[in-house]
Amino acid sequence: MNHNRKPVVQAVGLTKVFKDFWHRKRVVAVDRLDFDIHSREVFGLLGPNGSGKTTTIKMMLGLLYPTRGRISVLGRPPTDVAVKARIGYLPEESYLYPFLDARETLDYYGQLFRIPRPERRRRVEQLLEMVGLMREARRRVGQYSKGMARRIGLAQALINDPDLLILDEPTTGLDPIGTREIKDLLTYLNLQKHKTILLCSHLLADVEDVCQRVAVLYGGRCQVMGGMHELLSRDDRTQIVTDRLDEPTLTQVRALLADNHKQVISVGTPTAKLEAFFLQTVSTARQAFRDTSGATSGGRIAEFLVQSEAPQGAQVVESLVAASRQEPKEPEPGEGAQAAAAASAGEQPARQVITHLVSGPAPESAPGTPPSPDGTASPQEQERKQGEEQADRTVIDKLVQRPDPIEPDGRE
Amino acid sequence: MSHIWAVARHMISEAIRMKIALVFIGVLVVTVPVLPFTLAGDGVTLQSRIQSFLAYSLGLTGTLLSLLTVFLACGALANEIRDKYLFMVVSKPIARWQFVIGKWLGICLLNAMILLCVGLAVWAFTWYLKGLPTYPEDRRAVLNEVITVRYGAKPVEPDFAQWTDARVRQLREEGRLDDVTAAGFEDVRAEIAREVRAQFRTFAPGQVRVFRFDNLLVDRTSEEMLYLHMKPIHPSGVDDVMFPARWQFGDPEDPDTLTMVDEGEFIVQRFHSIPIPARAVNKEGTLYVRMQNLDRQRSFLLEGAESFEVLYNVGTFHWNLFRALSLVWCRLAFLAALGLAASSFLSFPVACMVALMVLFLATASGYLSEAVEMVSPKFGGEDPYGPVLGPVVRTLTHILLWMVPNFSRFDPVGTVVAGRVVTLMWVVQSFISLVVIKGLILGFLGSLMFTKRELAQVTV
Repeated sequence: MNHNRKPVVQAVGLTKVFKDFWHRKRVVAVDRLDFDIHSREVFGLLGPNGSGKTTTIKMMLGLLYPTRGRISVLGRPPTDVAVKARIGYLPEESYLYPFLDARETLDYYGQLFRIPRPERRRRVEQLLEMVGLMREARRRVGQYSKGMARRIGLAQALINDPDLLILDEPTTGLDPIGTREIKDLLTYLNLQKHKTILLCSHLLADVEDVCQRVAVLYGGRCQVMGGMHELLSRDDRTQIVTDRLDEPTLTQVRALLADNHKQVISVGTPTAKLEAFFLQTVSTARQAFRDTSGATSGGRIAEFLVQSEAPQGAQVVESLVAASRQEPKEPEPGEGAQAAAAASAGEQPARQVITHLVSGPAPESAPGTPPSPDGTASPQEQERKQGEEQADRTVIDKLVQRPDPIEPDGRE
Repeated sequence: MSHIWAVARHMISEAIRMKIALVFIGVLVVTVPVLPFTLAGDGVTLQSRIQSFLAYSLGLTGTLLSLLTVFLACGALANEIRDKYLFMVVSKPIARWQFVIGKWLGICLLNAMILLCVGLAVWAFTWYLKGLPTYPEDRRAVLNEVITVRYGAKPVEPDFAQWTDARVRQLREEGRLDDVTAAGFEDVRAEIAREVRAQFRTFAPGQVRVFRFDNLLVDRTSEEMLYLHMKPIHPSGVDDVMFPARWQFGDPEDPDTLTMVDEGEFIVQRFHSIPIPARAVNKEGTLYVRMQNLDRQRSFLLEGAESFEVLYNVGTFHWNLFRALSLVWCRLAFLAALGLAASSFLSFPVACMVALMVLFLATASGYLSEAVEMVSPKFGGEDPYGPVLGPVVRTLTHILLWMVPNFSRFDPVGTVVAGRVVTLMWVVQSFISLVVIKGLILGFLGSLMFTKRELAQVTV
C-alpha cells in the first residue's frame, strides 16, 4: 500500500473550461486547481453549488477531460481502465437502471468488476443487508424513493471493496438516520479498513464529522485547504466544561481569571446538536410506539415538526415516521405504506450492521440508539480526541454558544 | 470477457423490460400465425398461398427487426448518456469499446433469438399449409417449386468478347462503322456486346442451339430428377403464342449417359419445367441440352438470367430457411453497428434519423447506383452537373454507396419463396461484407468517438 509520500489522487494545475458549440470559452468550471489526497485519509471537497466540485470528480473518473493541467488517480491517468477496479464511485444522484431490481443492479455492477459469481452473490446479499434493502431487493429500482436509490448507489460503490471511495453528495436525499449511518460507515471504512475517501458535499455537518482534511472551492478555485483541526481550532482561546455553576462560583472564576489578566468571554449552557437531538427523539418515539403498538397523533406532529427542520430527505423522514407507526402484521396498501415498509425494512438491519461494524473501538450502543448528544461517540471523533491535546472545537462552540466558529471575531 | 457478456445480457434484459422489443415481438407473434389464414395468394393454388405467406412473413420480420435494431442500437448509447447511467458504468473497469461491443453483442443475440423463434413459427406454419388438401398438380408444384431447395445452374456462356470482336470486324468491313467517332466507338461496342449476348438466347425459326451446363452436383445413380426451367418470350411481347420446341438431354456420343428426345409446345411469358433424369448428366457433371425452335416463322428468345436454367435439389427446406434467416441477421448486425456508431456521438432521435436514412439508402441502393450511372456523362457527352461539380458529386455518391451496403444483394426472401438455395457461400460473403468489414469499420469509428467523447458534457 502506498503511504504518505505518494498521493492517491493528485491534481496539478487542473483546469476545465466549458466551451460552446463554436468553441468559444463559456465557463471556467475548475481553475488551476492543485490538491493531493493522501492514502488513508478522508478528504472533503467543499463548496457552494457550481463551485466545480462535481466537475473535479468527473475529471477524476474520466467523464470529463481536463482543458489544462492533469489529474492522476492511484498513480494513473483517469482514462486507465484497470485503475477503476480499485475505485468506488457514487455520483451526485444515483443513476440507476429503472428496469432492474436492487439485487440485479448490484449484480450487474459486480459483473463489470469481474467479481466471480459466488463472491458476487455473497457481496450483493451483504450489501443489501447493510443498506437495509433486503426486503425491497425484488422491487424495480425505478420505483425506489430517492433515499432508497441513494442506499443502492452507495452499495454499488462498495461492491468492489474499493481502496478509493469517491462520494459525491452521498447523503443527499437521506433522512438524518440514514445520514448518520453513512457517516458512521465512512468513518468505519476509513479507520478500520484504511480506505481513502473523497467526500464532496456542501452539507458542512457531514464534512465536519468525517473529514480529516478539506479543500474549499469557490468559482473553480481552491480558496483554502488544510487539516480540519488546523483550519478550525483557535489557539487564543481555552474552553472549560464543568458542572452547572451558580452565580457566586462564576464570580469567583471571573475574579481568578482577572487576577491572571484573562477575561471570560462568554458563559452559557451547552446545547445538543440538532442531529443528535433528532436521532434521540426518533429513537425514543420508536421505542414508545413499539410499547403501545399504536400511533398517537401527538407523536406524529412531533416527528413532522422535526422533519420539517431537516430540509434534506423530507420524504424519507415522513416514510420513516409512518413506518414506526406501522403495525408490522397489517401493512396498508398504497404508496405511503410501501415507502413505510421500505423504510422499516431498511432501518433495523442497517443500523445493526453498521453499529456492529462501528462498535469495535467505540462504546457499545444498542441498535437504534443514536450517538450521544455531544456527538463524541463516533470513533472518528474519539480518535481525534486521543490524538489532539487541545479542546474539541465543538465544545468551544457550545461554551461560547457560537453556531459559526469560523468567523468568531465578528461576534466579540 | 465476462464483463462484456454482462453488458450484452443487460442490453437484452433492457430491450425486453423496457418493452421496445416486446412490442415488436408482439406484432410478430400476432402477425405470423395470422398470415397463413389471411393470405390467399392468387386465390386458387396452395403454391401461391404458401409463397405469399413466406414472402410476407419473412419480409415483415426483416422490416420489423430492422426498425427494432435501429431503435435499440440508437438508444443503447445515446440514452445511457442522456440518463447518465454511464456515469456509473464508466467508473467501473470496463473500457468504452468493450461496452460498445457488449451492447452490439446484446442486440445481435436478441435478434438471433427472435429470428430463431420466427423461423420456427414460419417453418411450422409452412408445414401446416403444405398439408392442406389440394389438387395433384398444385401439390406437385408445392413440393417441387416451393418447399424445396434448388440450385439453378446457368448455361456456360461462350466467349462473348470474341463474338463481339468478330461482329465489330464484320460491321467495319461492311463499312457501317465509318461515321462512328473514336469516343463513340466504345458505346457502339457495348451495344454490339449486348446484341451478341441476346443472340445467344435467341431461337430463329427452325434454329437449333446447344447449351452446356457444367459442375452439376447430382447423384447420377439416384432416381432424382433435374428440371429444365425456362420462360420463352416472343420478341414482340405478345403472350398468346406457343413456342413449339424439340429438345434433347444427354450426350448421344457418350454411351454412359441417358439420352432422351422429346418435343412439346410452351406458352410464352410463363415459366415451364421439363424433368430431366439424373442419368442424363455425364460423369464430369456436365449436361448438354439441345433445343430447336420448331416454328417456321417466329423467333423466340429467353430473356434474363433465370429464364433458362437447370434446377436440381441441393438440400432441405428448414436449413435453407435457417441460412436465409442468418442472412437477415447479418443485415441486422450491420444495422446494430450503424446505430451504435450513430448514437456514440448523436442524441437518440438524431441517431435514429441517420440510421433510418442509411437503412433507406441501403434498401434503395440498387436504384441509386443505377441513377448515378444515368447521370454520368457517357463518353464525351455533356455532364448534367457541369464539368467541375459533376465529378465531385459522383465521387461523393460513389463513396456513400460503397459505405452503404446494397441490401437487395443480401435479401434472401425472394430466393426462399422461389424454392431456391440460399448458399452457404452467400451467407459467408454477407457475413464478411456486412459484419466483418463494414460492421468493424462502424464499430471502430463508434468506439473511437465514444472514447474521445466527454460523457458528462454539462456546464456547471
